[in-house]
Amino acid sequence: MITETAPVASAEIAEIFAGDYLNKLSGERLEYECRRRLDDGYRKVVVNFSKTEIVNSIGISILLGLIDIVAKSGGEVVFSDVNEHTIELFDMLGVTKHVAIQ
Amino acid sequence: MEPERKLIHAFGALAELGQEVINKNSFQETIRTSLHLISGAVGIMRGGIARYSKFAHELNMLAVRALGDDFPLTMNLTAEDERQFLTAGMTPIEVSQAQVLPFFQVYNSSLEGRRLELFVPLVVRDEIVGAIFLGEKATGEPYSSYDKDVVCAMGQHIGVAISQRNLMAEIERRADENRHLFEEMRSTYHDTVRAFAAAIDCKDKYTEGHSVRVGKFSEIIAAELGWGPEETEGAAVAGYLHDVGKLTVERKIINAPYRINAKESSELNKHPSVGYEILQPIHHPYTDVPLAAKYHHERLDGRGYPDGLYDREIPYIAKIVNLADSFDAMTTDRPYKARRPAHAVIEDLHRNTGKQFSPELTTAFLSGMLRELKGEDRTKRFRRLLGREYMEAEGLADKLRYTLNEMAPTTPMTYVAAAASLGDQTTILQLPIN
Repeated sequence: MITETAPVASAEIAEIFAGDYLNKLSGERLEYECRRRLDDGYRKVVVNFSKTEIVNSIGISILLGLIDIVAKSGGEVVFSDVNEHTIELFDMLGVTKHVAIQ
Repeated sequence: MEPERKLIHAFGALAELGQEVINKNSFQETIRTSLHLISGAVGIMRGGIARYSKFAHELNMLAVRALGDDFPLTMNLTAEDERQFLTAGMTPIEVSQAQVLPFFQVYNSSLEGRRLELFVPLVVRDEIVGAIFLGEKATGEPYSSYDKDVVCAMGQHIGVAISQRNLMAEIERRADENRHLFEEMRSTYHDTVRAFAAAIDCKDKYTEGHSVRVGKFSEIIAAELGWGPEETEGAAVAGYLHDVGKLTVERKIINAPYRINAKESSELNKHPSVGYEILQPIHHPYTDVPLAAKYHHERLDGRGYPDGLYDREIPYIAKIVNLADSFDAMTTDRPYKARRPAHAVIEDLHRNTGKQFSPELTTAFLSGMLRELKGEDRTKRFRRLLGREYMEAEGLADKLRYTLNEMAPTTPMTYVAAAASLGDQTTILQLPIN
């Protein structure tokens, strides 16, 4: 299982775990899970990167799409537990300008 | 440090794109992935990739991301747009500068408000194959020359992927066209063959339809032998044309209401060789059609004409046509002879098997007839050619079963069993049980 969801403190927040390598396959799975959570009524989605070592170009593109999807649905997305290396990549490509990192 | 990381990141995306293009994924999926890769390499919020149809002069969107549901999926280009793209080659155009392009002016209202920033015509080997539309960067910064270089490098891969797809589509289109032409030629050929058959049969008022029936009987034999559709069709054509040489024989000889004399017979017997001469120069899609005409009066025992060939010397197709021809001669009225009853015809075929007819051909032909009588074959091929009444002669199925068994018994005892089933004690006594 590349991603999983776990309810956190608030019932309106869904947490999704990104896999260790965020590529096309795991990225599409992540997007699917995110859409599913929004359909379930969650307004805030936390993407947990604690297990993530590498994010490739397709992964970046999917994350930008995911941010757009959540924004259009009137929700909020947060990236959590992102390692330093990945944060540098997100900064370089402007991902951090569109999402809160915690 | 950042330029190096950017370079490594872009290099990774380029490598993946190269792999994606040579993978055998579906074309649509390749383009969708390509859009992801280009977006992820530079950090682009939205965009789309279109393929250009040089026939319709239009861009058709293949993949779109975050451009909105009402983004135009088809955009027509003018000759001026094409000229400019071909002159500039694969050069990214800032959308702010693209407003001068005729097609941008036409679609301005649809493109406005999409936050598009870059337009890249995909030009491969001096041909426009598509275009990339790119929205704003996630950093909010304008596209740098480095970004444009990365986009161009990736655009070249995408252009090649589209070009390859176009080439494949063109090959498929031409193959379809060729198939269509082939079908037309084939149809023309068959129409011609049928016209010839009708012309041959016109000469002989008593045997009207003979060539067509021989074609159909030949087809039945080939099918019963398990031949493929092409070969079976070839056998039918050989049957249709077997008597083409009769076109040169005087009508009074063909239509003589009496047994013709030796001189007339000699004249008539030239028709196989004449038929061969007529058919030989024609390039037939099936082999042996001329040989079938030449040798359809040869017999296994060497008593046929024109060359008195023996069994193994006679082309197989000629043996098929010979059986079909003889069967039709026996089952149709002639000027000097009425059609023979089904039982008598089967006995005649049996008697002449091994002398005139190849045993496997007689077996195949009679087996086909028996299968139809037993209802195992519902095509009614024989009924259509011989008439329902003829095929419903009493005891015909048993006669066929018995004859087939006699021609290829498994053990001598099967003669006894078959004869007993017919209640024919006389036959039982005459059986050659060794």
